Amino acid sequence: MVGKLESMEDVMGKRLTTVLVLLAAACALLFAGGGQEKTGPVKVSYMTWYTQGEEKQLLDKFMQENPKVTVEVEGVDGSKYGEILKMRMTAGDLPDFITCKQNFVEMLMREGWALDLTGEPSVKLLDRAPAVKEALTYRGKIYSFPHEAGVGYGQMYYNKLIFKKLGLPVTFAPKSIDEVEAALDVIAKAGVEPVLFGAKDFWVTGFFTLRWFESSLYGAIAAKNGGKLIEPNAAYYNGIAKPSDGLRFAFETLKKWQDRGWVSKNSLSMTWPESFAYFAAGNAAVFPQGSWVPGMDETKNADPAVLDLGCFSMPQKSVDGKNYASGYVDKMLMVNAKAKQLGGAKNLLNWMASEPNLVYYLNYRKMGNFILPLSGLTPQPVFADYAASLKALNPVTILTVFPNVPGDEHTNLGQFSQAVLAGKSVNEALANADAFYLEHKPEIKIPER
Amino acid sequence: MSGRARSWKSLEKREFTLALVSVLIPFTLFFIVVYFPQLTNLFFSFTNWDGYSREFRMVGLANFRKFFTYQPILSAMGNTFLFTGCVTVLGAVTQLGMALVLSRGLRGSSFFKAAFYLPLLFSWVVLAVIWNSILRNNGLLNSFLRTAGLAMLARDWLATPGTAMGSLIFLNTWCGFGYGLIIFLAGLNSIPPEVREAAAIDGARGLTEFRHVTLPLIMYSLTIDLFLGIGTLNIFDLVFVMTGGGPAGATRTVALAIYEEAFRYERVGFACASSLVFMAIVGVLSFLQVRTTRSQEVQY
Repeated sequence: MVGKLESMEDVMGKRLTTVLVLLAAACALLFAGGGQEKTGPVKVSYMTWYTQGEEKQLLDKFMQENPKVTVEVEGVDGSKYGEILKMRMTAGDLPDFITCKQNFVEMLMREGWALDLTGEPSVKLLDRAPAVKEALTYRGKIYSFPHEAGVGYGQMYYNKLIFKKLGLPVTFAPKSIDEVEAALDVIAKAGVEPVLFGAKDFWVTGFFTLRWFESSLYGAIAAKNGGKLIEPNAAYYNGIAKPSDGLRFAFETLKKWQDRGWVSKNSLSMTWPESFAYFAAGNAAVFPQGSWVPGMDETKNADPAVLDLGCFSMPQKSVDGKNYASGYVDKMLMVNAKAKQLGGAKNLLNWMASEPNLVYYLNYRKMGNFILPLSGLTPQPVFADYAASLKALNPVTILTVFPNVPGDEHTNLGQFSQAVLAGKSVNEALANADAFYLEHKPEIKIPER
Repeated sequence: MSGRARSWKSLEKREFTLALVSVLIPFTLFFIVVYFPQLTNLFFSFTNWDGYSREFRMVGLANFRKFFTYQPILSAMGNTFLFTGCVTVLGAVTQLGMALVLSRGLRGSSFFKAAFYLPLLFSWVVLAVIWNSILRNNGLLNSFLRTAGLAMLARDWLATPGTAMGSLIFLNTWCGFGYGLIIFLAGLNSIPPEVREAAAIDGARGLTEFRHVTLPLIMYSLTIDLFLGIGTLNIFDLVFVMTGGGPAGATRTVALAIYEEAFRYERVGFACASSLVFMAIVGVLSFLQVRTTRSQEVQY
């Protein structure tokens, strides 16, 4: 009997030991870090909003020249990018190297995640444009480098094949909005979809109303400021003007285009990627979008029998005989100050931001426009008319750096321009935009300069 | 003897330890995954935390008061109650109607039961993506209508405020149809045949039988079905994928509004408070619904 009890004790003891061992193993698996090997290849993690491999060619070149370094790319959908970036930061799980917009750089900087790049070789390139360097400087330090940044208005891409078929000028360089609207009328009457937006994504119409009508935006805000130019966001913040003052012309134009049938009926139910694919398949005539369009696969692989891409600059409403435009920085590169691979991330930044590689990237992406003067930047044929019309407009460029409400400016304001397409009146949409700004104004964080 | 007693005591001690460890592990996990986030949520609902900063201030009940005065939230509440009301009523009526038909044991009823249950096997996000491509302006539905000579019925179903909400109601009802159907079938099948026979003998047929015999006896199924219907007050995934709350906020629900406050507008404190207030509202409504329908239940 004693022998039997002892074996039962042994069994219980073994069970307990087994449970504890399993628990310890589970904890070890759960908390085992993804730490880098002390020797051997270096893996630099990189978060970007490009999910279609747009940067692959550049990163492959980097890895060829740096065989001991592997860049692990994490592509995150652009419409959720800010939200995911914030969550990762809160969780303390940011990658080594990050693409983001300037407002997110400021957020990361405030929370101690942005590495001071002031002494880095890449930053010397900023000396070519002191205004740009100043805009990126916070208390004497620089935390990011522009990778996609330009001047001028948003691009109006158009399908030359459709224009040719309808007897419109194949090299289209309108000097007034009336000319644009006359062309849209011809297109609509021919039963072709005129202007296509991917308006299901708020940022698309937000982008359009903010960046395609900048001269009138600045003019309207200046009128509220005694004729003196002032950055719109600074004007809103200081109570000099409201968003409705600056956006009215853009919203009214959008409404007019919608009412006259000049906006494709598919716009509201398409996201930006869907609209791009639809346009590239030759289904719409005009596609307002950013400078990345020519370099994307949908354009490069488009059937030349259905798409011949052209581009013109949106004519502007002059203010006292002058046109005004924003210098915008869309994509910034920055290094995580707490990166596991700090050295690797810095090397990657300096490599990507060096003039030869920057030019290489902009050329194969067919961007043709950068906020800093670069040697070797190839003008893109598709932008030839755009560049010519921009030159003719000769805009005064203002670098916009004052923060807007938290989040993405285009998305936040885009919900109201989307509402115009959905049938809301301009007055109601603008009133909602003003109310939205006032509601969220207390959350605006102005960085120390 | 004392040696045996010591062995037993030692064995009991080990058993107790083993039992304690076995309970502590899942409880700890449950606490970490469920209770701790809820407690954190409660704490931050009294702050103005933006979701990532190390600094924040206590704001007392300001976030809770704001829930009842903030127009976008109130508008989202209206959308949500409209959605849930329609889904619950439409769902209950159609599910019960179909259950009554299928409970007659007609030929092919097994096939239809399986067919109606099929959507529940798929992720609702997947279904939403598929229906997106059907309902958009150049989607399958409009293509079919135009081909069938019904072009005047074609419209951008997801981009017009009225039809966008209608599309969501239809889709949610369709997705959850099989679930309610099973519940009502179970209820109908549990009615003893002799009760129906007795009712028939007394002259109760058709609507009279349904109202005075069938409905009271399946009231507990209706209780469950309506309870599940009220659960749609938390709808998020369908709306997020299909409309994103648009057009012009016409389909923005409370859950989506809370998500936007937290992750888009960096007002996590307000979002936490809103989620607690809304949870309380849903809880009260569920309590009232169950109490009302259970009071009508009859057992044979």
